[in-house]
Amino acid sequence: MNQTKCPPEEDVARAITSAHWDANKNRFSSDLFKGEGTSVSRLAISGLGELFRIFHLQLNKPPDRVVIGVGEINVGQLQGLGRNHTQPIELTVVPKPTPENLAHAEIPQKISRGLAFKIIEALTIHEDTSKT
Amino acid sequence: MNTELNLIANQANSPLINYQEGAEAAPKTLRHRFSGKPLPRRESASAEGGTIILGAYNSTFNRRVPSNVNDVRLDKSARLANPPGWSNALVESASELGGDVIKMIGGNGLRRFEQFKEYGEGWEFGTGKPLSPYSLASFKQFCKQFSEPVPNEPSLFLTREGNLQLGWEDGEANKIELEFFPDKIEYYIEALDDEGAVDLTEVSQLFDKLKSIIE
Repeated sequence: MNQTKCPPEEDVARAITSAHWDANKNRFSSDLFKGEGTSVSRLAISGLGELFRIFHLQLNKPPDRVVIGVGEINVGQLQGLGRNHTQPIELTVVPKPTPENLAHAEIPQKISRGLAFKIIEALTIHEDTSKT
Repeated sequence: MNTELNLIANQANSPLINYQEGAEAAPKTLRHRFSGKPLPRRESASAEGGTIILGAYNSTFNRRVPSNVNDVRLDKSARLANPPGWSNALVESASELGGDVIKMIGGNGLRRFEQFKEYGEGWEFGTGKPLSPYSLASFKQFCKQFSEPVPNEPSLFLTREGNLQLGWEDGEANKIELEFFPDKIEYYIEALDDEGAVDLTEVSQLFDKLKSIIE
């Protein structure tokens, strides 16, 4: 089945949980992008503020404050990283809206640890500023 | 006369947290974890040496000092007087992990472990699994067996599979990552451009790779 793909001009955001980001040491786990079906959200559909609200609703079950940031990347940049990796891979972002998050999308391809770290390095990190 | 047990949460960088121990303790029975030499009074642990004592003793209780501190543990029979800033849950986690793990991940990792224990089913958009006790066992075994000093205190992570994971950098800022599955360890060693997995019965192969970049 031919799936609609997000164009390279779009930007997507990945929720970052405390499980994947050691903020004290500013280290990330490759698990943020490793594997298949990584969830992202399309910034063309929802803005960062709205996405933070959705992520907190969806992911902030106990313990408190699981979501501590959002990583933003351009789809074209993501695809370039895949193509230029040691073992090239054609990455796509496929819209998969849910009732809770109309901006939800997935990266269906299996991403290696090495490539995941490359993607993480390219992220623009937005820390949650609503912690009051 | 009081003696002093030092509880080191973060081996390399964290400040020592001093625990005042009961009057009848015998400091001369404490021995350095690695050298085996007796520890002088008021120097029962050192950030360099890696001695970690997770013992809490109360003067109204059956006071004693372990004669052999190689087995790092928390004596649950004693009434706990936690060091400042340490909740009961944190102390229990330290006991659960043991000294080899604490030496590897420090206080920061210990606090993260405490968080991860609370993550329930579906913590990551419905797909995250809770912390696997088998992964924990695999992780503890690794820390017990891998004796090389890791230059940068690793970070502890929880993966979507419910596995514990270690991540740090070598001296050239290349990434190293180990994920502890119940039956294997998956690894990524950037300096060697090596990504793979070893069975838990063959971890010596992984140790050799790690030693080659640590040395």
